[in-house]
Amino acid sequence: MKISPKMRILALSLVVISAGATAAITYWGHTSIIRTLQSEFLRKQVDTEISRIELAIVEASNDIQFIADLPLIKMIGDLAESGTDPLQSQEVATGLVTIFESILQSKPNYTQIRLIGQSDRGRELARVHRDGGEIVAAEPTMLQEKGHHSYFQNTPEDANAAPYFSKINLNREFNEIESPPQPTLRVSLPVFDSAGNYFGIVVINIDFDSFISTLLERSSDRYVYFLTNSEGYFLAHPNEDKTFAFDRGDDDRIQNEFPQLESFYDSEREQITARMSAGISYSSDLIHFQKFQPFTDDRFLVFGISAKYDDIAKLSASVNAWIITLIIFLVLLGSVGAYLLSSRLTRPLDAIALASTSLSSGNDLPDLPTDRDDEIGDLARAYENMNIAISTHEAELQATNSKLLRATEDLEHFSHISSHELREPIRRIAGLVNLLKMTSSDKDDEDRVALLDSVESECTRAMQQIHDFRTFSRIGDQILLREPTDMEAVATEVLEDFSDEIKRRNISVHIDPIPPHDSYKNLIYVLYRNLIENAFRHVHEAPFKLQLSFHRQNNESIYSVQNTGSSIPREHRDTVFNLFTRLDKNGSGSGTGLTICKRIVERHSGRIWTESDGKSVTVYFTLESNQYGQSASDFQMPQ
Amino acid sequence: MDNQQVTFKCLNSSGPVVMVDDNPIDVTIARRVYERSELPNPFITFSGGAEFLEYLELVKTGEAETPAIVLLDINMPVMNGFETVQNIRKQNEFSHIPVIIMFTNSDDPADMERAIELGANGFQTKYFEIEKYTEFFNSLKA
Repeated sequence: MKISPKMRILALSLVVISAGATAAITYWGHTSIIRTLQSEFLRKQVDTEISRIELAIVEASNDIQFIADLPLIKMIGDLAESGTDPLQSQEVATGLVTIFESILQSKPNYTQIRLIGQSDRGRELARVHRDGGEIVAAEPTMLQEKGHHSYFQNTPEDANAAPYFSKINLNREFNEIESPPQPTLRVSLPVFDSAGNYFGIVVINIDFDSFISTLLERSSDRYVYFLTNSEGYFLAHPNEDKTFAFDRGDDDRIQNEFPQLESFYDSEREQITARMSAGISYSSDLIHFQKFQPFTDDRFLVFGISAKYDDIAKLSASVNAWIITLIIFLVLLGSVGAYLLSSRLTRPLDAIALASTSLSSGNDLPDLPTDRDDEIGDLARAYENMNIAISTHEAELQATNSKLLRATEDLEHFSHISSHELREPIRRIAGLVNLLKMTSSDKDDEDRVALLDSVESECTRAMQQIHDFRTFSRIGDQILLREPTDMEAVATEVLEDFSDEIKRRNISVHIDPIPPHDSYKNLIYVLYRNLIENAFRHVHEAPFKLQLSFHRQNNESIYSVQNTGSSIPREHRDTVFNLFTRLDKNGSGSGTGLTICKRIVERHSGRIWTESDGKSVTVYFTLESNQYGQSASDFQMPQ
Repeated sequence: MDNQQVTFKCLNSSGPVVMVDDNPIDVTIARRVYERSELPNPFITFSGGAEFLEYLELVKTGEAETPAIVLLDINMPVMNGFETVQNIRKQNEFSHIPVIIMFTNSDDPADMERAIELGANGFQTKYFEIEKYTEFFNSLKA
């Protein structure tokens, strides 16, 4: 893939990855912050509400202490001790009732204030209570015996005791649950005469429902408040039917609504924050419950908030939707920007790439960003300079080439002249000399005939030389066809051409079996002819041996022509193949024979070399093995 | 492989053996050698293709004898051997005359092929050895 699309993909990927990461971080961060804030808020809310309840309880403790410490109370105690009915005294009764009334007036949550004597099974000595909107003092006939009530029995008779808080339950009058039901918390203290003798208790009845509701915000759509006793029974619940249901024999507890809280109530844990997948009654998102001990004893209450975040979730979802939309928009914008930017960045690169293609294919250079002052500008300028250099060199090359062409033409012309214009007169001279010899019958003129022989021999040599030149210059460019060549037959044919000389010089010739080979048959003929001719030319003794052989070595077909009676010095073994190299001063060759052999072997992608042991010379050559047709490798050497 | 002895055996009439060659030395040598040969036919020569075609016109009118064989040089001015053989073969009455192209030293296979294509009966490289040349003339006899 080219750099430009890679850069585009890279830029686009960067945009998408950054946008995706931003989106994810924003989304999760946003959600996480909201959740943390929710939990924090709930904890604070619960803390605040608990403080308020505790403060209210302390206030009630102070009030009961105030009443118990009244001198009037002690006076009543003294009167009771003396055996008189203390409230027979109008002054005392009125004083006490007035005090009770004024307290009830200032504390709207208090429903009753009573003084209960220990005599007569805990008979009420005085009671001020609310009746509808009125604060009324009970008629003596309406005073009841309360000695059997737990709050009476449980109020300690110790002067230094802390106020006693009763269980919070529905108020009972004459052992019947008051109608409408009145959740009540009673706070009491023992009272003593001036001698310090216990003679009864004072009790404040607190309307718990109203008490709580003045403390707590009303449950809203979002926040729902719960207050339970240590067992999980509801002291406050948004559903009024459930509040104090336990006092009416119902077993409904907070653990039923939030099973997660089951272990919390039994454990030592002070508080719990839990995320609700879906509450049973309220599809709450989050709850926070906390234990607290407002009373002087070990009892604890649990206050909790269940917060519904549906609307916040909706808001959050819509914010997230906005974020995603924005991100998508940014991705699109970024992608377009990245595409344009990378295109802008890679355009000059493309131009350079195009320039290199044009340069390599020899076309004109396109416009290049040479005016840039960055690396691309450097590259562009380098390309232009390169192009100028190439054009200059090309022009020089063309000039040289045309000179060379002219030279080649001249050479061809010379070749033509040498082959025709030179050879023809020589041939004619040879013909004329021949005629002259034929017609000369004068036996005395042997000297003349010998001279004519010399002229004829020189003519023959000149013609052979011209012929060799032509052969040499043609081998390179002749169009030839490879054909299955019977190498042995070609060698035999060459030897037949030399049959007269072989007979005359008494040469012993041996031809080993030579396998056929795909080759340029005419060239193989010339090759063998030149090699054999070369051997004959350089051996000046008779008889001698000529051997044509073939063998395979290292998967290579090696052909050889060996003659005895001559040798090549080691230092000349390579130079013998150079043009016009003639080692034998007396030889008649033109110095082209072995050069022609080398070119023929090279035309067959083979090698040629000589070996000499001082008594004989062997010329070896190899021919490229051809995968088509029959080759030497298929040849079976006869045993 | 050149200079091979070729026997044509196409001389079967008493008409003249014609040689067309612009080089007088070649003509002289040929005449001298021909005189040494066994052929009884008269030997007449022309210095160019045009002159020979003029002679053929006389043959048509009966004023000259039809050549028994034509030995044609290739490299000639005005009308070379290829053009001459083409002109001979154009004329129906001379389509049967044996024509042998006498190459000087050309062994270019393209030239040889062209000569045969144009209607020559064969080709022969010119000899300088008198014996071989004589043998060649003798071999023409059918």
